[in-house]
Amino acid sequence: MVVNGNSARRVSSPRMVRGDDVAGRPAAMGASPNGNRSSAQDRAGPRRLGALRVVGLRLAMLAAASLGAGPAARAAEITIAQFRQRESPVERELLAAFEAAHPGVRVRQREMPASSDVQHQQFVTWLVAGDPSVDVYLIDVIWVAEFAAAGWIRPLDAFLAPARRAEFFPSLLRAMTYEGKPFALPRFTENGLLYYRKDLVPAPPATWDELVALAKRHQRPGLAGFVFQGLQYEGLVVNFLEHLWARGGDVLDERGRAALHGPAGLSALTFLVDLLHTHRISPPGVTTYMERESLQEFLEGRAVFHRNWAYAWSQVERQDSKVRGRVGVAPLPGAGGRPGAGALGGWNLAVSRFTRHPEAAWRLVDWLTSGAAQRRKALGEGRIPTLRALYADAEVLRANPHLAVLRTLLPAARPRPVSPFYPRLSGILQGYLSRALARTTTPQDALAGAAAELDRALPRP
Amino acid sequence: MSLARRAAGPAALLLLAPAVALVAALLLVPLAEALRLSLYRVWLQAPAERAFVGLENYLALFAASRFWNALRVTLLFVAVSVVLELVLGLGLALLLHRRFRGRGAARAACLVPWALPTVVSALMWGWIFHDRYGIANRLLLDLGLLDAPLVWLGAPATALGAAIVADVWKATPYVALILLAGLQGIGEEVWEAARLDGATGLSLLARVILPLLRPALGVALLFRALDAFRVFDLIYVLTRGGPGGATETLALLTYQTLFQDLDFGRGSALSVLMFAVNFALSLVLLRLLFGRGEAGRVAR
Repeated sequence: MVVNGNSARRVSSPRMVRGDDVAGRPAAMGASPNGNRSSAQDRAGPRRLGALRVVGLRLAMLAAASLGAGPAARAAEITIAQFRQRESPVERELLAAFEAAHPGVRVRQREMPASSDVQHQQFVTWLVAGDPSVDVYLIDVIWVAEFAAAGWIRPLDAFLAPARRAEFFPSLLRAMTYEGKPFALPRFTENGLLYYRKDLVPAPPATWDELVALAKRHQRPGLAGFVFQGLQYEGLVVNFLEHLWARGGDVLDERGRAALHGPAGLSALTFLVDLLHTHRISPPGVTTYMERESLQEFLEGRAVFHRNWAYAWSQVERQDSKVRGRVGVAPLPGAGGRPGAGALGGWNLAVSRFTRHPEAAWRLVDWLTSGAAQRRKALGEGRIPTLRALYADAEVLRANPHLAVLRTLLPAARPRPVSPFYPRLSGILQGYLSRALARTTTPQDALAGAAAELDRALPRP
Repeated sequence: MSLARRAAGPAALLLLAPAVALVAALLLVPLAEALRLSLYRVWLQAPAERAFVGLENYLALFAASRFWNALRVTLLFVAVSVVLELVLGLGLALLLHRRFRGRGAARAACLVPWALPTVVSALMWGWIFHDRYGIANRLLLDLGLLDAPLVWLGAPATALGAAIVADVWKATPYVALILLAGLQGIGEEVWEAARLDGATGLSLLARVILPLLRPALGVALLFRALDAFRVFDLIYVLTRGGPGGATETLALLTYQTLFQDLDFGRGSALSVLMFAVNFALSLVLLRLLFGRGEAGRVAR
């Protein structure tokens, strides 16, 4: 690791950052026509265009860098810890473009396993030890408040110019905000969606009751009505929250006390249990499914309806998907006159408290969340952008038609409770919800138990 | 200690020092640190909340049904899986002790489950118990033992059983290996004497083999019980402690408390309790197996 005392001292000044990202953005966006063709393996464009694209990105970066980058970010090696990006050249291109624009800064990737629990554990271990060898972390939306409260990541308000801030969906930035300050920038977002077989169901259901009726009509042996994530883990909490929110409920009230055992919670959990045991439109196996297993059922053509995140779309449209071309995407259904509510997910870039190169680290965060970089990820890997402008970009929309649905959902996207104690809250809910699904307890008792335990375990704000 | 001093004085202490230092650094210091942390409120996501709270973490655990559930699940897992492993391991060892063609290959082959990483075998068992693709349901349906496929890992009644089966499959060869070594330690003259006295079958097993195998059985029992008590990876991969905590062991609960909840005070209290239960368990086992004297010596 190259440590330059000089840069370490200078970088803490946010002064030199302000101008360039604002000015740099149009240059970056302007360069993108060079990089138009998607490079996903299944529609790989000509090589020449690929080369042009890299040149375009580098030019964009150089333009951005030349406007404001002083010598501050020089002679540093910065490490980004993130889950393994797909087998596509996009990530390498993006990092190479960054290095080209910042002479003397080298970027290393520390690739993490896909399991978010494992990432959380590993990140916590490093951060507790004050490990300076990772500068930038790609973190789950539900960890931002926790990491911020622990003092492990830096507030970005001094770096983040108002014009840059305005590029993002405000709803996404709100989920990054702890005690009034942004602590991360969203790199890709995710939102809960309803996938449905448009060859069977011409129009998506507007309410959960309609979904039940349609599922009952179409399901038969080998074709389940609705698959979701029912294993005892975070995904089960997400599914429950979406039903809860659709009924106007919430986990905590405004004073931070448990509120999930009210009528909305009871109705939501009863509905979830009924999907398996009364309506019988969800196969009993959903209590063992995470995202991957449930998606597999849908891809095999074994389910009419499926709840998953937005990233599942690129899987649905892959060559080896049995339902390719037969799937529609819609907002999750609503209930009782309310619209549905998909949970907000996604991955976000944060600067470590312990970095020796905060300036260079911020620049990397800034670049990877820029319009040019997100556009490449959306075209090449189907990652869901977090900038509003990209939802008006014809080519991005052509490659990711479900963005048209997301465009209407993201402004009102709902984060899971933004609390430093969210993982604790979720851990408690996981056990009680799973018990209700397995019918070892009633929904009433499960919710009452969860509420009592939440009130004991969570400190009041 | 007094013996050492009497025998050789300071020189002996000096020679002992490296070993003592190593044990202290690797075992006693972490243990003391866990003990100390368990008396504090340590929430990593709220550093300002850090405070000495005495026994609060322990009292909160004792008041939580989740802790007692995890303890019950863990002890059940240990008891059932270790008993099955000993019985099956003994059978396997007796088979492998006989002379037959290909015995070497058979001995090597039966070590495969033990040699596989637990995560790999857990994933494999996850597929075996899969409700639709799994071979467990296929076999039982074909044999007419089931009317409809079971969701083995998704139902509280079967999830722990499935995990136990996976553990028994993996650890039985290990037990068999230890017992085989014990069998081979029984001298030829003993077998001969037993034969002359007319001991065969069950009486040979009950009156000759088992008594002589007692040390090996004891070692196998102790190792397996202590190991099974800490079970984590198998269950994490198979069920994550679900459904509804039906397979949540103490190790899983500790992991959740430490690394998901970031509650290091409560998590340390759990670790200390796990240590205490495990220590007591091994003392009881030692005493049962080797009598009072041996257990006392090991404990000291």
